[in-house]
Amino acid sequence: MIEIRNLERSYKTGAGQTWVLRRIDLKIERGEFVTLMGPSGAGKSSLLNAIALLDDQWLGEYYFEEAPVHAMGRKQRAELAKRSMGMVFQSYHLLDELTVAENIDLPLSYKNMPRAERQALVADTLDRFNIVGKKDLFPSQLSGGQQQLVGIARAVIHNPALLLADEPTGNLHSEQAKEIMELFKELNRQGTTILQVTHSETNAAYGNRLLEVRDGWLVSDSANPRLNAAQESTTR
Amino acid sequence: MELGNDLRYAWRQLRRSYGFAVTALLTLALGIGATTTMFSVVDQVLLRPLPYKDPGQLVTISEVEYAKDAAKGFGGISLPNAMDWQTRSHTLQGAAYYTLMMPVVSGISHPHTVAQLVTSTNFLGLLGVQPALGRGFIASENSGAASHVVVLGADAWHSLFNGDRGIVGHNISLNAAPYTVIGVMPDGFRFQGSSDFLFSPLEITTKDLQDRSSGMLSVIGRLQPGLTIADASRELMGIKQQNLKMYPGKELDNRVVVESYEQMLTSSVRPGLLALNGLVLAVWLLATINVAGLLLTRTQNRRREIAVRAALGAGSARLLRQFLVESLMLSLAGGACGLAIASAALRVLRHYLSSSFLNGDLIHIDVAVCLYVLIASCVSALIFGILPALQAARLPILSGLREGSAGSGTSRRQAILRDGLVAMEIALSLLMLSAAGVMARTLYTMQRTPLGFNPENVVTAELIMPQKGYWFVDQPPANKSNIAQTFVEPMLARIRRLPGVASVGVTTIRPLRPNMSFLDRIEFAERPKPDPRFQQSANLRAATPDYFRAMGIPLVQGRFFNEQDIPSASVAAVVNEAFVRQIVVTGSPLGLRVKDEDDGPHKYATIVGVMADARQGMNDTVAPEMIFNLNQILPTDSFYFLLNYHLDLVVRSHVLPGTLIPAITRIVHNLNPDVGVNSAELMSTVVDDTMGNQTLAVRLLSLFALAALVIAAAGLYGLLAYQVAQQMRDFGVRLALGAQRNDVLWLVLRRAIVLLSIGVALGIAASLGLSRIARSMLAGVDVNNILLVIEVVTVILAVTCITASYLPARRAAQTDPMQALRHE
Repeated sequence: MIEIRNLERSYKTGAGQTWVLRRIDLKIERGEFVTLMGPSGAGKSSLLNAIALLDDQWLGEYYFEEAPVHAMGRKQRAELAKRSMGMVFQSYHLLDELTVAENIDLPLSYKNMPRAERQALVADTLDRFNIVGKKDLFPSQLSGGQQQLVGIARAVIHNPALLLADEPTGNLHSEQAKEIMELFKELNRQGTTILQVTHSETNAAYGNRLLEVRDGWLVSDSANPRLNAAQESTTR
Repeated sequence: MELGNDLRYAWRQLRRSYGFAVTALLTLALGIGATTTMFSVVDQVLLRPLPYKDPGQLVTISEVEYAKDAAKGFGGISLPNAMDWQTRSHTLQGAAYYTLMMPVVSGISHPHTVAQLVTSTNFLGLLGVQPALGRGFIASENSGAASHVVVLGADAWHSLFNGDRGIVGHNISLNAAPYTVIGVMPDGFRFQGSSDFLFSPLEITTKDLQDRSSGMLSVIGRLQPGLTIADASRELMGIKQQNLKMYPGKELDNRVVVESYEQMLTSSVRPGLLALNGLVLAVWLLATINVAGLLLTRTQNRRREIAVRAALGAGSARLLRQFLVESLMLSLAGGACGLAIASAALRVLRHYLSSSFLNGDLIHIDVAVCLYVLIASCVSALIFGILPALQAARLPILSGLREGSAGSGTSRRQAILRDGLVAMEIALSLLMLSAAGVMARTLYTMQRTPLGFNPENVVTAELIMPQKGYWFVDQPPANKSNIAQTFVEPMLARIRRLPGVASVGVTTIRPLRPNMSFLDRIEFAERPKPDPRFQQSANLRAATPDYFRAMGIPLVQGRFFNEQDIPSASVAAVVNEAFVRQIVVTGSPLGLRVKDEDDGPHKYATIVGVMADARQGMNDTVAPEMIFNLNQILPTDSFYFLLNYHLDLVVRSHVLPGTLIPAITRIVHNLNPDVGVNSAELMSTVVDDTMGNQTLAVRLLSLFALAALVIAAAGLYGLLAYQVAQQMRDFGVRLALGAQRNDVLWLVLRRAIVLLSIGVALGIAASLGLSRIARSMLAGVDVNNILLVIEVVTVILAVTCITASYLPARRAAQTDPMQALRHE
């Protein structure tokens, strides 16, 4: 589904160039539940943002379902992200002035989809996530867990092939976090490919593949023992 | 469909940000309201085409002496000249002439004077208008009894005959002569801003046809299609040259001036109106720029929302549209409030607008004005909405998604631009406040200047004596009865008996009637005949003995008229102090005899008293004035004509003076139903109306200055609020490092004070510069106290701006360092 070759990202700073991602090679197959871990500042979120196409300043090759993203223009990339990806944020990023239903409808409103079809999809999603009773409430009237539930509903309403989650339970207590991770697991079972960034070993256990990033380098991949071996030899 | 979502979301956004919405709405409402008020005035006074066929082809033709400036010296045209232009010009399709009369209409319930436009028979045809009822004039209606026909203007038709549609064919009486109504003009037809006219053809006599040296006609021409004013000027000057050769000694060697009729009507108000309009447009522009500033602040605060939308698939165009919808909604709401402000302003100013501008009574909110508001709102939305919308559409997603991310800030160039704009707003505000202050000061000075009479409890009315024929055609003395005995004295006796009347008198021209005067050169019997080049003139008037008491004019020296002043004695005269200062100069004025042209007992008038200077107009200095005893003037005296046409009745009462008006009118008409009673009103109203232009200027300028002040304060507030929002982290760091809250407060206020100082300095320079121009251009405007006005205005401006700055400064000072630093 995703193939990344030699992906690099750097920022210009007063002292010169600071590298946040170095020569990343990565393949993610359809249906995987991948967890990306590493210490703060290691480059986890940078890699996630590059894959989510929120950042387009990286170098290297990126294929999404064999389509060369690196050769696409800004518009094509935005179109691809809109069609195939869903994003879940640590701090939910619900829009305060929109109701639950309107927040969920937001990604659809940016597609040329007939209103009736959108309404039906929103109703289905509310039902699927068991939040029909909250559809007219505003985010400030929901708990953190409920807000993240809405955030996930919003991310998957258009049935994306890839769901990206940046510390989805970072602001939740453990009980709420468990519910959210169960939901992710269920979505994955239904066929959604998931890439999550987390610090939590417990959350990582829900996935079936673990990646570790350190100082911008991809240092381990549970599905690629050769990378682990190479890394170990470098360390020695 | 998505537009509905955008609108709904925009509404929620505005409702949620109450402070922002109210500030922006108020700013826009003031800006759009001010410009709409001015547009209503400019549209009606300058932009509306005249209600005639092809009004652009109409020109006025006048003659001026070569020595005089065309703008100042307007000369009437003689009938032979007007007819020459009618028959000999090829650059004109036609020419028509007219003059204004004020006959008394009698045979109606309250006889009074009306404006009668006595014209050539082609006058209405030349304007391209036809009566709505009946017919216009035919060519033969210019001599003898045939000329006694009248076409009614719409207002005259309504006021005199209650809009009676059967009036055509009926006779009415003008100066006691019968006239037949032949037509009624349509409602929309106005001439020089009025439809309260009667139109009649000018009766042409053989004598008039031969007199080339005296002219009292005005002439309008219609240019041939494709020809210009310059073409017509050249041709008419050519005709003038031919006439000078054909009629040597009779034809006056004047310059012929051809002007656009439309421009001539508005030339006196055009520069002032356009200047005021320019200022108001600047206020509006600043208002919209201010709102752009406020929106930029908000865009910075909405970075997370914008980033989320972009992350969820909103493209740049979609974000741009959403922000523009919000701007448009805000702007349309501002426009609606602005329309309400303009409507209220026009209502407050209605009385002054009517008296200050041609067609001023027609100024109102109509479809054109509403359309203007709509366009102004949309343009405002584009001006203030596009920049924040573009900024929103270009915001980097990642930095927006970062929790509590600091704004990207503005470039140094943008910062200087915004600072400069705020300084300019302050300067403009100070300039307008100063202008309003100077005008208010002028009005105050005028109100405080002694009038020289006491207008309280005085009612005054204009009495127009019935004439046979045109008033300027004098009657032989043998045909005259003595008005003083047959009309004035009995009228005064009856009015004196009315309950509450304290005193009553009559004069030929009362104070504050600056457009009427009769000047004559003064020659004293006791002094050598002066060199005619330096001989001085005085305003000649006549009054009954009680007039001075009724008008409340103080006696300075000598006496007023009394019973010793009998018709067979030398005519007694009272002069004003200006007469003594400028004409008598040395020695006592009392007993001085002023030469009359007569040889009889009234060869000399004797000065018996000196009265205070009663103001003849509000802007003028008081001119020398000599008032004869009206009771002594006989029809054979050369000064008799003073009371033969126009008298002002003055009644002082102990009761509400306004209640006397119906009784006074009844008494006059019982004595002579053909005497016109015009403008019966309180003298205090006359005083107020004389200051009408100044009052209008003060109110208009105050309104716009207030708008500019609020906008400047909102601008400063917006700028500082933006900067405070940008620097929250800095303030947090400063406070965490030990800065006191007052240090942070002062940090923000210091910036406000710098901008305020720059703006005030620029504003003072502009005000002083403009005051110099005003001093030379605006007669009667008191700019001597400009420094005092500027001091007061600066204090008002400073207090307002510092108050507006205090709010964001306080917010900065209240920054929670933990909160501010956590955002990093």
